[in-house]
Amino acid sequence: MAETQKGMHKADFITALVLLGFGVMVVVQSVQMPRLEHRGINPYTIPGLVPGLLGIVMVILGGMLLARSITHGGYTLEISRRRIGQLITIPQVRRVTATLAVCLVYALGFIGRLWYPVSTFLFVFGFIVLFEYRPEQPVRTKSRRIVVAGIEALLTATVVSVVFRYLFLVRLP
Amino acid sequence: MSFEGLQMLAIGIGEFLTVRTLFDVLWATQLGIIVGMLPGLTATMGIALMTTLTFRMDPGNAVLILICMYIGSIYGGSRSAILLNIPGTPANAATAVDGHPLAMQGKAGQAIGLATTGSFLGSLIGMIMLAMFTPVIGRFALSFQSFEFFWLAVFGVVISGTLTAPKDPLKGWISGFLGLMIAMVGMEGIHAHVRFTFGNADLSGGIRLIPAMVGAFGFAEVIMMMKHTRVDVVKTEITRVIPRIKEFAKYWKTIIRSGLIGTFVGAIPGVGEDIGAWVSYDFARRSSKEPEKFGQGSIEGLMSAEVGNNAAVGGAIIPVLALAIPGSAPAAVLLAAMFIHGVRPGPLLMIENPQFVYSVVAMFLLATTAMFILGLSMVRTLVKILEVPRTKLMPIVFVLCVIGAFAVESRAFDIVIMVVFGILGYAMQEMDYPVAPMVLGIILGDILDKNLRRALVLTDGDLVPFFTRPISVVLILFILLSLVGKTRWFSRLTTMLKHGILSLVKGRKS
Repeated sequence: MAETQKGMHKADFITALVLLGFGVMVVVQSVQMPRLEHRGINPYTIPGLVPGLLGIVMVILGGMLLARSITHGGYTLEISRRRIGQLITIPQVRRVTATLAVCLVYALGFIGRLWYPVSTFLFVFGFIVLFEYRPEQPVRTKSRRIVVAGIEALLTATVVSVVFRYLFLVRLP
Repeated sequence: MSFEGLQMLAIGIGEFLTVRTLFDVLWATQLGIIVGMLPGLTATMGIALMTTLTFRMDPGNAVLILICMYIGSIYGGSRSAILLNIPGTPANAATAVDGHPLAMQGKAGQAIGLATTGSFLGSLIGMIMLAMFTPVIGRFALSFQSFEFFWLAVFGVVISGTLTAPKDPLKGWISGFLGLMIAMVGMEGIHAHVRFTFGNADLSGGIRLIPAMVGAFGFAEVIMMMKHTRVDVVKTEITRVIPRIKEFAKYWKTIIRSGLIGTFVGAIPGVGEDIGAWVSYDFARRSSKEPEKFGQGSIEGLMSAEVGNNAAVGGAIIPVLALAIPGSAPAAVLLAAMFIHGVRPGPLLMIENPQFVYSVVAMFLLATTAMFILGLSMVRTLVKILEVPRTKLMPIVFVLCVIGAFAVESRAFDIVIMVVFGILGYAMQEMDYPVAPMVLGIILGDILDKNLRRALVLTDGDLVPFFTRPISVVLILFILLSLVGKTRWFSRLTTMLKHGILSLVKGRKS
């Protein structure tokens, strides 16, 4: 529990720095934003007014978070190669990384480049196999899982494509 | 509700009593129950997906289907909360506290039946409040000017941040203001000047709400679900589901109290059904004759949570219709869907289209009835859906996220938005930042931006009217209260005041 709290303070420290940087950037951008004087607009309606104020609020909130994380020792990040190496071995981190990887490949790589049903088939099949395939399992179980994954992927790709295209009249990506 | 209101409600119900509409009500509510049941598919995600599927329908039918999905999914989440100890939607977290122990005691059927009855009663209370208060608040909001709308936007973000992150309100406020900043991207509403797009033409239209919400509530949930390994369904015989009246009738006070609390909490901008359920549960425990049973399988606890979250649905729709400000994340999608269908909720709705408010009440009644009937039937069959492994379900959910984000405007860029918000939503959840205030911020950003600048034009830069108009003063007081309400010095101050008043009263008596 204490370890989780410590980790959270470290995360807060980094987040606070990001928010401060973000807030300052927004304020600078807002100040530099055109004031549209050539259009004779009311000076109280300049486009940068509200974003600038929001940027200031974000700097204040980020500052509060930074101050709090420093009080709790969040600045001791203790980043080392060994710790990063340990992080990769945590099963949950590996599962999240794998999920992100396959989802990003599908959404940003396949979609728009491959025919939609094909890309969906490949994604669903890849996803199921990635998380269900166990090298230590007997060959028969492994083969059965791959076949079942293939059938499920085929069904998903077909049903989603047909239902969205012809029933809901949605253009497929 | 006036006689005229009752008349419009009757017209509303009459409009929907066709075979086609009743069929739509049944399938949409059943789908909502299934969506709610499945961890990883939330009410917000369900409504967002349904928006993309219904945008070619006529507005009445489309909104009806979305409301059925909303009510069905908020109820459906109780099923997995009871059987898996995992709330299907965040709104059912309080349900799991007593529902799961009941299932472990072999009373899963009874727990499901009582949760269904609780949801039905909560939904009815929410519906009555919706019918009574939407016209009143709508008419009251007609007196709002830019000053009030500006403060209302600030109030929404602050109170949503405070209530959705009770342990750390600072993170809730950061989330809310981040949402307001996100809303600044794209073309602003007064001079059509394009802001923060960095030359990207796709961003000039701003960040669309539906892809952002599909990402923040759909993709983020896929990552979250895949992080953990599978959880087993409680292996219990589901026997009697239909509850006996005496089982819940003795908790009538808790039911009414939880319904009113749920509706009130639901109506607070951006707070939502989960907080509605927790506050109702907390009040029920405090005033219970048997508080020791709470957490051990208390029927009263289970009822209060389910009444609270479903009453909050009605509550969340009140500000949607009256002010065009959502009471919860699913209500935010509903609001966006109404705009897509050409319905313009807000203070003018009661003047331009008063019938629509009562049509929504009629939709609510149909959806609630369908939820009750479907909730008590096919229980054993539907439980099987919970046994589908997440490794098979989550890729399908993500496929739906992608097509859901793309479908409304057929823009590939919206898929990118969905992915970005999914990763952002996941990171926020991991670091204890609530996502709901950010969503509310995205909606309120435009209101805040336009109204602050308009008000400054009206006063020629004078800030005094912002702080002197009566409604503004009330809103400022609420904002200050939610900002300082959790600080130590404020609780010391209130304790001192309480002691002072008590000793004063005692002194007078003696």
